[in-house]
Amino acid sequence: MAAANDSSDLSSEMEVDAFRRVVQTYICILAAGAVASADGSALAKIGSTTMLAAIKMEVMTPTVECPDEGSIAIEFHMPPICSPLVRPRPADVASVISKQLSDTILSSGMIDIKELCLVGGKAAWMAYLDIYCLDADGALFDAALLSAVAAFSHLNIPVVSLNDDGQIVLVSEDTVQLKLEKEPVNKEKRKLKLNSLPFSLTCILNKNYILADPTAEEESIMETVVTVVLDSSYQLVSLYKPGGPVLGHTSGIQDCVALARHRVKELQNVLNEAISDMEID
Amino acid sequence: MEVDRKDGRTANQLRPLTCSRNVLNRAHGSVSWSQGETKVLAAVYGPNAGTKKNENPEKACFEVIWKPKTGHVGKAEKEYEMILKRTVQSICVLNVHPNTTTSIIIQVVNDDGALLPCALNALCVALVDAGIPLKHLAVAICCCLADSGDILLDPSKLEEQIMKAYVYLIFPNSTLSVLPEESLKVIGEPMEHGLIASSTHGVMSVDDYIGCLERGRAATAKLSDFLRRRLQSQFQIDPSKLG
Repeated sequence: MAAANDSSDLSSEMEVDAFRRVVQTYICILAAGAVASADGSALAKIGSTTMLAAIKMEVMTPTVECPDEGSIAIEFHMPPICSPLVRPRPADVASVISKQLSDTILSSGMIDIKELCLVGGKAAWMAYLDIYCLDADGALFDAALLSAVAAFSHLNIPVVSLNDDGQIVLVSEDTVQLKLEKEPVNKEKRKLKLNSLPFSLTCILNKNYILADPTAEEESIMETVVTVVLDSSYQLVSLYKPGGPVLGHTSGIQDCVALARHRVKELQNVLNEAISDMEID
Repeated sequence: MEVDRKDGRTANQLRPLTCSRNVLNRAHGSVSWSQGETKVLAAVYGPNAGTKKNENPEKACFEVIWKPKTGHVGKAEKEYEMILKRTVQSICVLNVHPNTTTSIIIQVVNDDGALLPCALNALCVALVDAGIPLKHLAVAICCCLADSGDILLDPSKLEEQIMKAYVYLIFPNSTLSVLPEESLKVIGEPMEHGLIASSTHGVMSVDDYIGCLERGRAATAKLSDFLRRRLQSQFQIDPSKLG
């Protein structure tokens, strides 16, 4: 391709290439207890990339500095099943994505950790979010974030009550029938209130083109990757470009953000459909 | 807009920079770099023979080791290592020494905000000190966004924690050509307007982010000048020492 073209031609080509890719990607979420034993779970598939997210809630004592806050621990695993390039030793990519995910989820303000408090100063929820990559075919962060958001949307906080020793105990389904000694501590708060949900789009930058939502083959050829995370009010939660030979100019970055906006709308629809399917069950 | 910063700086003012080259005996290139209280020691060993597994043997390979001041090496350190490695791969000429590994070690001496930019600046000077062939240098800066919408440069740790959001930005060094015509002739956008790497924390609007980019770019001109002066003066002294 010639270096000096009409900028208008190139930008229209850029749009067409990028949109084609975004439209052709098949997204499907199967929420609703993909993992029956977890308190919240979701299986997200974008193209071939498959992620399974599961949340387990445990009661813990909050720290002295923040007595009315719970906490969330996010871990991303890449077991060898996901890709021939991953061996049993934890891949470096997994640690980086894990850190990126926890930064994004905690700084996006999706979850107010004060809501995870049960009894101020004595008991609070600790949510363990584990995301397993089952099939790594590019754009791992996007699928992982989507599955995490879906899992939190599906999360059912277990009912607990205070027993005589002042300990929080889980109220199992059978004892609900019998008379309870104490009222459950959180009978009304079974679902977590989520503020603006973050959604992300990964793009590859080439000198003249932007490819949205790359597969693993495309990612292996081009080294420059940009991940844009927007929340439902189109605020920028994260713009992550971890170095690469192609430089990001303002126009390129704004194109990526525009593509991300489209993606946010699509993903919101898919998530809402999945949640409403789940509620019907 | 007047902003009250704890240490009395203006919004666009960077902290005092100090840089000493060749501080370590055994390392091929080393530098001690500090921006205000944030201090980083960077060392380069290389090129050494042989590449690691799964790396392309036709190109030079780089490995970055990040050592925090205290505690175990965790995920944050791995993330920094990855960002620095990819940045280094984009600024170095990889074809000159194929099938070699260059190790870059970053030791954090003190963390008072803007740690990744400080480390990257140190790394570039260390690479020059070691004589690794580079296409151009990279300069890094941290911009933070206050609740009022003001953009402050180079925050300290306290400022980073209270701000709404902060961004680490890495730009290529501004080009200074020997031929004056080359500097003027610019096809498309000038290279120093590009962005090598960016890492954000906190929520901000897209316009705020673009504003941070502009401010960061303007400030990197000062950093580039400082780097140039530092690297030039050393070379003028050395020949006389050789006698």
